[in-house]
Amino acid sequence: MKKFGFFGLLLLSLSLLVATGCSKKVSSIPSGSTAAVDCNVQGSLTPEQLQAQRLAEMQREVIERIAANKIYFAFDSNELSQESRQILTDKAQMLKANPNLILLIEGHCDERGTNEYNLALGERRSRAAYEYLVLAGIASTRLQIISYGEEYPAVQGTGEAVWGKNRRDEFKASAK
Amino acid sequence: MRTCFLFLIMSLLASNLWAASVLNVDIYGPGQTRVNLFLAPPLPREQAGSLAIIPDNAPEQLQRRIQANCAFLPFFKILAPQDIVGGPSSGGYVGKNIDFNKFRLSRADVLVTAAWARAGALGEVELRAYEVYNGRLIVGKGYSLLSSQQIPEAAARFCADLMEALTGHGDFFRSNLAFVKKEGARKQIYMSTAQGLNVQKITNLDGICVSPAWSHDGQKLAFVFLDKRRHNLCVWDRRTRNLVREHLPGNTLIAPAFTNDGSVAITLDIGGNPDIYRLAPNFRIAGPIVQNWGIDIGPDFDRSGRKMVFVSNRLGNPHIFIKDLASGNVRRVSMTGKYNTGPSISPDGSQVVFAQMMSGGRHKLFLVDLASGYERQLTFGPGSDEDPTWSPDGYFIAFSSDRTGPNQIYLTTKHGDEPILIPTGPGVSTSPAWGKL
Amino acid sequence: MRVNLERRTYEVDLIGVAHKGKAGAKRATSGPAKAEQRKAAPKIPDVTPAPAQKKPEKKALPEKVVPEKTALPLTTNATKEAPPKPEAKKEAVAKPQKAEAKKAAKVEKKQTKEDILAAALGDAKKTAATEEKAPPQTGDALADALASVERDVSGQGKGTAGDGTAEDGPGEGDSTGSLADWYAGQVQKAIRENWRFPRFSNVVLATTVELRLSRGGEILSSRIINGSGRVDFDASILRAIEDTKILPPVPEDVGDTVVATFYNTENQ
Repeated sequence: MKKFGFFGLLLLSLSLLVATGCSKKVSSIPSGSTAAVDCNVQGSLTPEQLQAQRLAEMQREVIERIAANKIYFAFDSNELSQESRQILTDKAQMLKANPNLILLIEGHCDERGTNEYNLALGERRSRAAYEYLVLAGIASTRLQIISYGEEYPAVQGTGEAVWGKNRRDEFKASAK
Repeated sequence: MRTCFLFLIMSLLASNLWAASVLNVDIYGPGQTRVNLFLAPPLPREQAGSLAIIPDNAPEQLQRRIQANCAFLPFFKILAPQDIVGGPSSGGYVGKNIDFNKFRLSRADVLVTAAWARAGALGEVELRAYEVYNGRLIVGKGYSLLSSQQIPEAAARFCADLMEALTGHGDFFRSNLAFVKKEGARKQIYMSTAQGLNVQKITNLDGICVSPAWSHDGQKLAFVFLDKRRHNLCVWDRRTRNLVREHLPGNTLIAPAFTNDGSVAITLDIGGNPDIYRLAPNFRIAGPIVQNWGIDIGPDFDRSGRKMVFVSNRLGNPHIFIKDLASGNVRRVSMTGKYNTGPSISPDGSQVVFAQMMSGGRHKLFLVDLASGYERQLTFGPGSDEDPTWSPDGYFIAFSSDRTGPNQIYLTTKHGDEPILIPTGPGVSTSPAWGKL
Repeated sequence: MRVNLERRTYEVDLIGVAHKGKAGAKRATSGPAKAEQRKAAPKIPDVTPAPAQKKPEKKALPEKVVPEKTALPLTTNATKEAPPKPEAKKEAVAKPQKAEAKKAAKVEKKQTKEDILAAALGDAKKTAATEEKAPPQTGDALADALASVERDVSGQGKGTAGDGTAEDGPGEGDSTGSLADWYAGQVQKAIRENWRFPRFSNVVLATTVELRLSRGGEILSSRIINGSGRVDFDASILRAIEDTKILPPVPEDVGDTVVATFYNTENQ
């Protein structure tokens, strides 16, 4: 948090107060009043509040980082490449460091092939990542898979350049 | 030399006597599979009457609707008025008054007459179809129309009766198609008649609806709904218009199908890979139908419920298989190609149609006769043809194709007749499913 | 029609005009065959085994025609046959000889009454057999065609589901050397052209009709010997016959009675 500087911290606490509804946290303010203005005037956050907002911010960052790297597959295949394994290892570490996060793994396909078979192939792909993460030590209860087949391409169009980007798993973490 | 010559003469004579025996000829199939149909101009029922008193130009509207219906059937060729020797008028609307000669000369095979009388808000019409060759009445029906809204219904009923009289099956005009329409990022379930009339929207869900399938009695429609977190099984009741949404165990639901007793078969991944299971009426899992290390999806049952076709990649890549549910025997159906999916078995269980991926990633429909094993390509030309589904009479096949642009529903027959478009409105339409009624 | 032995025998016009091609090809094979037979023994007029021959020829016919849309499983050469006409010609030349050999073989089995006949036929078969050996050397396509004819003739003619044109090919030299067979083909072609009936029945329908012809080929009368049970099917056939009215003149050694059986399905 140091990098934000004092001003940044102030802004953050203001937004946090507004967001969480400070009529609850700052007990002296009656519930009917416009809490924001009064809160600002009243004072800064308690250490617990600061800690909470710090954690929330960090979590959002982690969620973004987990989602950032997708893994890709060869045509009609659900095999994990070396690169995919590395990416999954990183994600496993992040999940371990944030035990309150759960993860949804989405399996996707390119447009070739029929929709129904691609739903099955998407299942195979998301399950491949799921199994790797379980082996890496993540509890299966924190993981969920879903196949979208070819229904949600990342990139529209045809040709191998496009198809390669659509044969993927996506990772959507969220707080429990 | 002379004896040889004598022999020659005698055997020639003998051969002549021999050849006086009968010449046998076998003729396999007619030269044309369309018969010539002519719709005679409508007449007033009373001789002194006039068609002008029928409101809304109903006679002509009905004429056009019947013509449009017949154009859907690959066994009619509609003759134009100028094709009729001596002019198109029939002289009468009942057999004994009709001048069949001119229609015989014009090579018409079926003649349809319409006779109108003013009655109530609109009128009454008598429709008759005659076999031109011998003047036999094929079918004759009368309809009372309260408004011109009922004209399409009357036309559909008459054509259903005509088709039933000719083919034994009148279901085409009485049957319904369910299909999927893309709306932005969402996909919804729609319904229409087999000709694309009365298009209705059935769902308005926030996500993707896929794989509609009708129950054998045509009363329920099952499909899978993908929302932001899960797959759901949905079942829509046609009578009550009620939609039921179920969560099932596991993460993945693919392509439900109804068995003949009304229970649903669907692919689930509860065993760690996609297998086919049967559900009880309360949607609990009754048991596995096909369990295998690979992908098993896309079940379809014949009318008896004894045969189930499905897709499996147990041999490495997806092929069509058939399971005899009584014996448990599974055998392969698709013998060519490397990627065969989307099977549909004819109601009588004799034929299987499916989509095969050709070079370039496009799919074409293939048909297999189960008894002989004979496999042939059914559709040709540009674009990709997928998701075939049989009509209840086992004659027509509807499928989805992008042959002329965005995906639309097309109609062909088990003979591979030239596909015609079933108009279902603008936008992308896929995954047709054919109901009984 | 009279068989003119003085006329140039080898005249094969296979594409387009039916009877020229058939007659020509027929003469081509009957010429040398007849010469052989005359040397060996009394005449064997080639019209004799007309009924016996018909069946193998019928099997050969569907194979020859190439339906546009269907993938025939039995011969890889099917797609090659459609465009290249010179190939078709070569095959056609080989075919009558091959088919003749088959026919001769069959005839041999059935007609055992005269030893001389058998011996003469044996000779004819040998000549046809030696002729038959030559064609496979002319190329793979030919060998394929011959091999598939063999399969077809000996087994069941499978997989010729076309779109109603299976039996319709012009006389591409598939005659087996019989006027009666050729005329049967003519009858079939002429009536079929006028016969309209939709393909929708899952049941096989068959109707047998007896036609009486004048020597000039006019259809004098027709009557149903065996109906199909379906009024509209039978009516469509009677109509087709009526619309046809006249057939080609009947060959001298062919009788004036034709018994035609109409099926609603293609020969699969």
